[in-house]
Amino acid sequence: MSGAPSASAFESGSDSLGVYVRVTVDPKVFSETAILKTAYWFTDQYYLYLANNRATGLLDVEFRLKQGDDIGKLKAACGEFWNGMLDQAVRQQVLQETAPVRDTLLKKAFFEAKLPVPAGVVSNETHLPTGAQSYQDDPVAAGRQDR
Amino acid sequence: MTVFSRTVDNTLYTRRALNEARNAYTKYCLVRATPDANGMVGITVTVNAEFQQDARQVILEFWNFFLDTACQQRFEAA
Repeated sequence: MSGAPSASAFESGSDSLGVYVRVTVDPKVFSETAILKTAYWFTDQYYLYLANNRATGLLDVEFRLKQGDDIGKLKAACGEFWNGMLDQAVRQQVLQETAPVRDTLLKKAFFEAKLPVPAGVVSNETHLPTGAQSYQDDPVAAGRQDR
Repeated sequence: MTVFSRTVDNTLYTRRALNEARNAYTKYCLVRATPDANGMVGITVTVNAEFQQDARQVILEFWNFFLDTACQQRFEAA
């Protein structure tokens, strides 16, 4: 394969809180929304910390295990994180592409609910039940299974 | 006393999220915020004496909570 530049870099280390793995993500490749949504999901299983590197314009994402110091598990977590970001990026793209359709459907649904009965529709409402009547009194027994 | 410091960018970790996280973890740790240059904020977490044996968990759970809250606020605003 040719040497295509990677969208992310990877490094590991340790400090007073134990072992960590850090990936560097380019916000030009993955949007900040995609990165944050992925990070939000990962805090369930890992300890995460995000840092904007203003000098490079890249975003550092630091991972730590909730228990233990297994660097192999941390590396696997980084792989899952990249997949998660890709997944979120696609979701954002689909959301953007389908926004007009979604908005139209929502507008249509709410617009119809607010409309009065059109003039052409005939509705005989002379037989509406009063408060004292129940479905048992219905002369055509529409609500009864034994009719 | 276990003390852990980091410098954060307040465009990612907002002040509102910090206040929420700080209030949620009052029982476990003391959180100090010191404004730095260029919108950066120094955050120092000091674990309370009775939770020293779980210091790592307290500090990292605080940071996860802080991140989660900041993310939630960002999604709600979008």
